[in-house]
Amino acid sequence: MNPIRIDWTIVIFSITATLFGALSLYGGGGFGETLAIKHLIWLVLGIILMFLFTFVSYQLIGSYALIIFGVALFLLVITLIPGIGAKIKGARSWIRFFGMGFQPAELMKIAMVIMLAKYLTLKENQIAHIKELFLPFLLTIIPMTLIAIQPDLGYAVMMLPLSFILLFLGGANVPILAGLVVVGFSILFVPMFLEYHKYIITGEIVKLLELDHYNLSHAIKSLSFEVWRYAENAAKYASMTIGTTETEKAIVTLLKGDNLKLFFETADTARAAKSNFLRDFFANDRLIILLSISSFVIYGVLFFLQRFYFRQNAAKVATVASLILALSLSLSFLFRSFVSFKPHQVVRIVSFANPKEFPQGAGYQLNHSLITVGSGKITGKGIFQGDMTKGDVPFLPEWYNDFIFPVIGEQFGLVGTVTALLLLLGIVIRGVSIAWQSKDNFGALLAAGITSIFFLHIFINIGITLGMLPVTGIPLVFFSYGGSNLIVNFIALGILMNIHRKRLINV
Amino acid sequence: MFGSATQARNWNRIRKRMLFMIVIIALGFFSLLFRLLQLQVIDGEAYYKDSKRVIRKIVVDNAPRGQMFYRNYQGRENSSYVAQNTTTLTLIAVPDHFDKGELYEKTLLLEEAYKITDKSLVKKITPEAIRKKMAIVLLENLTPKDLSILADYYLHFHKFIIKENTKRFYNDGEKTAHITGYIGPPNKKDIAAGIRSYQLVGKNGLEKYYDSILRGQDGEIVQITTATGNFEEQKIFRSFVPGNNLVLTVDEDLQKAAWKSIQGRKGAIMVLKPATGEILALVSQPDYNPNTLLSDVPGERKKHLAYIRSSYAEINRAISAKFPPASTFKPLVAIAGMEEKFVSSDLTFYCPGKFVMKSSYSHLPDSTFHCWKTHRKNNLITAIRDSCSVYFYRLGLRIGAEPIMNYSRHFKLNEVTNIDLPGEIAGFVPSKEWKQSEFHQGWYDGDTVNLSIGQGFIETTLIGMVNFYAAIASGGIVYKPHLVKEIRFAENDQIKESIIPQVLYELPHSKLTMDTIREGLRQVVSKGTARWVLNRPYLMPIAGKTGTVQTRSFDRHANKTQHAWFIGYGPYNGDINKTIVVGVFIEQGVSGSVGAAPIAHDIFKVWSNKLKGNLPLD
Repeated sequence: MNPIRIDWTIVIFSITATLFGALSLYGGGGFGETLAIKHLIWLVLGIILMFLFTFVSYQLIGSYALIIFGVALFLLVITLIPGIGAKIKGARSWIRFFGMGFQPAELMKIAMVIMLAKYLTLKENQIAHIKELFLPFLLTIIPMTLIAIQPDLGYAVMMLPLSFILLFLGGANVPILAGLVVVGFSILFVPMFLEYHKYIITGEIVKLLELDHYNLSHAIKSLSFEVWRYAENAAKYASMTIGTTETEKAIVTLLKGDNLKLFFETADTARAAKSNFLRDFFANDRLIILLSISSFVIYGVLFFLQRFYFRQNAAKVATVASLILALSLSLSFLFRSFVSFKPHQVVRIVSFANPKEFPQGAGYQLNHSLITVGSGKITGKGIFQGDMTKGDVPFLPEWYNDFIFPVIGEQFGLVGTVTALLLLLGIVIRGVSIAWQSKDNFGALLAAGITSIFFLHIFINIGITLGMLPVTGIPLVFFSYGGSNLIVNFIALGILMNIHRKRLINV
Repeated sequence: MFGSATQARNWNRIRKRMLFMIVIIALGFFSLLFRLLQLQVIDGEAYYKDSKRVIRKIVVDNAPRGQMFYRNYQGRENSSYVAQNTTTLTLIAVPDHFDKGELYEKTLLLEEAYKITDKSLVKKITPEAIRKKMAIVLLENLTPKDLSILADYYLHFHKFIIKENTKRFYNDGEKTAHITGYIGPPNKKDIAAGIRSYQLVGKNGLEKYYDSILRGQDGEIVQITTATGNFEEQKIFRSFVPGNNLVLTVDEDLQKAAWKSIQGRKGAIMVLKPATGEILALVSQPDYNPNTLLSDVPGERKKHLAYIRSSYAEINRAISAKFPPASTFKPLVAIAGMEEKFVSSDLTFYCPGKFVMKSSYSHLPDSTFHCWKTHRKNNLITAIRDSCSVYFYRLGLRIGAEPIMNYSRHFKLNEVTNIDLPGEIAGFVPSKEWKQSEFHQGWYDGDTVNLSIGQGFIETTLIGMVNFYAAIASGGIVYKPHLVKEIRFAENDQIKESIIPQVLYELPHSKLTMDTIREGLRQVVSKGTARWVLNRPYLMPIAGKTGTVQTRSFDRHANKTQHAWFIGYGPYNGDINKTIVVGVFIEQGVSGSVGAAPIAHDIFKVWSNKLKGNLPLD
């Protein structure tokens, strides 16, 4: 038993993971060498901060939760101001000071965990009521929105599950949480489901646009019947003479200059002229309006019956279910009316489903990521032997950052990736066990929240690189090159270690 | 342990729910592990192959531009080119393809093989070029012998690249500059019209007019290379369609003779075949060299462009410049007079050397119009012969301005001929309304006097006047002038399109009128102003007319400011199919017989030789 009670498992695992990351950067070739050296410098700074935070009481941090959250929020807001926030790769997510860049979103995720843990500890039992969820909802939505408009979708998306995990552990009513999840998912996916044929068409058309420098007319001939009919209708509507070449021309004309919207509008109008009641009914908004109204009516009837006649649990469940259905249908209708997906977003979704069809544009990154990780096979190509990271313009863009995991896979094979996975798993397991051992509810929630941050980072990042999730930018903890991420990770570990230190002390 | 029972209850709940979280974490890591097994173990081999073979590059396969030939076309091998595509071979080294130090070593060997002693090749391999991964051009214009050396030492030199450079070459350069024009990179307008930025487009002349026919359609080649840049396979995605070749109507001998004869002057020459409207020669001076405009030598192109801009060399003075036709206009006045029955060939006027026109107003002095000499008695034919201005002053006044203007319009002197060259402008025929609106004055008799000798407001292009004389030579039918005889497929040399002569205008004039005018023009050469130049035994009989444009100058004797015209045709009264019309216009050419007729002489001499069989005809 060591007197200062430092958790050596965490120290060793995290430092090993970071060194492994530096090695993969170094072996990637090109500018990876300088990045590896910088990575090591950040590591030294990170270790110092980790030990520093080991001796800062987490209860003290908890008592400053509001201030920490406020500072993080303030930094997020000023990041959006053009003079202060630096724009890198189209996103204004960095603040520059003293010649160094800092990503406030990194601080925000820790601040949000501290804030929610503190709130949930204070509220203890009352969290079961839906109105008590309003404040946590704000605490999640506000920073999420600020991050989303930078735009840094990866971090923004991460905020939702993080907040849900904390609310779940903190004792929120499970049916309410589940209801929220159902409503949220249906808002996103019901419109997608209803317009799926359009997505397929958009995908095919964007594929055409990518093939523009090939023989376009040749490619048009190989279109699916659905797209062909759309184009024909569109051409007819634009009162062009119909013939094979004319339709080709019409498609080209309509596609030029991001005219996808016009394309669908004309095609839809043309379709309306030649109406088919059943098909139109399912393709149009009428169905969704009818369903949402009828589910509201059912909810009203059920609510009335349950209130005055049956007081059984089954009736209650049916009432709640009908409410959730009504809400999700009507909200998804609203969402669909006000927010329509832009072609490039649609393509991202379609290309995620089938990356090989999009070799040049949207699927490029994913295709190359899969090739990189897969080509390592079991033992890897060896350090410096990677084909995908060489040169000034490597085949796998962002390999040193969000796509470091495939680089490990290429150089060290399955052995390397599983080692990396085990190192990260070790840290997560240690985090869970620290949360478990904590004698204090705030400590338990805080430790669980920090562990969730790590887990989400690991799962989302690796899931993206392995083609299990759509591509968004999010770094892999300890491995990806990036100062703010590494520093914040070590600070989080420091807090974890402090919770571990005090596990035996009664509060 | 806990402050309250609630806390303890919550502690238990957190642990219970944490179990759920642990399950999720375990599931997450397991799914990642399974996916890794799938990617790296099951599909690993396929991905490994992909990683070694990932670049698919689309390379444009440039379609060769159509070439141009002179009129006597006898298959590609036996005919003279006007414009052609030449291919030069260049030896290139790409530093990336060599190991460290290998490039230097091999280049030394290369110098040895080519017996280069001044280290000029090694000097080209600079550290900077290696760092920037530039392609280093080592040898240019490789000959077959050079290639055989490379082949002999293939094992040493296989990493060097031999690159083909296709270049447009105008065989006669500046001699045909105003016919061919030149090509260059597209501007914004061309790109908006769908031309790719790497393509070359015609900038002037036939290159511009027939651009779409000459350009063809580029093909595309898909190159698949490994990640390290090694060439693996190549397949044609779309094969190119070469541009069509043009066979011009231009006669090589006439064109060269015309160009030679006008050297040192400023002006234009046009030789037309009145039977078909084919242009046999077209020269404009000052000229430029289109090959220099395509030059790779740094600075040369820019310098030449500056010269072109300062000397207005790009203007084709045969179709894009207009001047008063002066005495060459007189036959038109005569035709108008005879057709409208104002004059017959025996009408006589007395020429005292000047013509005094009484002023309409008593307070204004009378106007005096001069003739170039005292001719005494003249009839219509001798007036044309001696270019007697006084005769035409009086004739013009008798006819009136309106018929002269109408006849000018009949001969389309105020319209473009739609020749297949860009930049043609129309001549200008004044009208009474025009003068009223422009000068707020009526049409005076003085204006008519000026008009009747082709001075004053009227302005014509050389091509317009040549067409007018073609009408006289052919007896009334004039064909649209054109420069292209045939369009041929480059692939199989078959004729794609033969240009059929189109009638531009037809004039139903009486035979008597035309014969009288022809007689007058014949006498110009046999006895009149052009006698001393063109009445030679070795030339065929020629008919024509000189003209001297008086420009606005205070000093009448400042000859340098007078422009010279000569337009004529020959052989006179011969087979129309063997007749040519020659138009010469020289700026500041002193006078028609001094400045322009000698140039026409050189051209007629070549044509006479052709008719006699000394030179190939057609």
